[in-house]
Amino acid sequence: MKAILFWLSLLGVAYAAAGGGGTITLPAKSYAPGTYTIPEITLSANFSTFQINLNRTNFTDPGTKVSIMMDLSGDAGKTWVNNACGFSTVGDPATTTKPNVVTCYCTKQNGCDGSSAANKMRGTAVITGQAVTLAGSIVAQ
Amino acid sequence: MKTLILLLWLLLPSTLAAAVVHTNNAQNTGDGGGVTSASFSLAVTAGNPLITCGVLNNNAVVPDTVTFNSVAMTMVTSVNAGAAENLSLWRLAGQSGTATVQADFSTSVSVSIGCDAFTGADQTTPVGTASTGTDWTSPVSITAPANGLAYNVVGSRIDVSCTALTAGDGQTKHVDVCLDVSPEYFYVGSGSRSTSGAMGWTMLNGGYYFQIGVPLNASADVAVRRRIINP
Repeated sequence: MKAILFWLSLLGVAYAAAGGGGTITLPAKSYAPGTYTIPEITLSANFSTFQINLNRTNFTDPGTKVSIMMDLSGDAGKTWVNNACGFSTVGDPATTTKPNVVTCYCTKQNGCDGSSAANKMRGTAVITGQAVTLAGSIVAQ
Repeated sequence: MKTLILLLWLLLPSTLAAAVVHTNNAQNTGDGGGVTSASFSLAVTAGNPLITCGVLNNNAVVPDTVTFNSVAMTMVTSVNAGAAENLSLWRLAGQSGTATVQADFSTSVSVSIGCDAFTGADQTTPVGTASTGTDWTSPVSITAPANGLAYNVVGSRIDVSCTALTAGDGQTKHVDVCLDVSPEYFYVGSGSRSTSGAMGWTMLNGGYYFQIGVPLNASADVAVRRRIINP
């Protein structure tokens, strides 16, 4: 098997197991204070982590707070584990060049089977304080 | 025959201890511009359950709260070392199921969190007296209670890279999580074993090192004998 993969690699054929998961993009725009539903997506099989990314370029007001929570379903959306991964953060002019990167892990022991094709994820974003321009993503990979 | 069995049960000790067993762990890291809370899901098996969480942050603060399923956990102790790092250990008995662990902070931090779930723990006094260490070369010494475990969490800020932790002194590693905020890296690990003595870790040198160790006490399960004598 290793020999076959070696020759495939010489031929320029990608043989690595395809990375599964999926990405929800948080559109770059101004968000007024409130609660936003992040639409669900179906995840392809073979992922092991969740990563929530938030661009902080315009996030300077310390009185404004952003919370992003990801929900996970392992049965194609019939039931959900709420807030399976999440974080809150406040604006800071000193950290506009440092995006938030929050990582959680998918393990069978915690009810997450990354090898299954029946997983879905969705999310909720809550903004308090002032309107803020944000962009980001939730990535299962 | 029935009389003989009854007499044998009456001669048994008044309590039957259940062993503490590690069943699960989960972890989370949050970095960049800093977070004021971090959350993730943890599955906890029923049967005298105990949850323990080690929380490391880079801002020398103790979390305001750590909760499981919105139920507040109790801080066992915390330790500061190095420039600004803080490691705290939290525990909660009596809660089971799959729910969210959440740590909240009064200020923005970079954070690594690792939680363990156990069964068979004493529900009244789940942990004993804590020992702490901030010296790279000095492991903490923990006495394992009868049917219990010697347990410890380690936290470290290293300036080299994220590399897997190695649990020393015969302990089983549970949590191993590293937050990459290059050129700084924040580790949290946890481990346990059923024997007493020094508990240490092998990891990359070149930073700050913290450790908190506690005995995990086993439950005294009196229900078995009562059921048989008074069915």
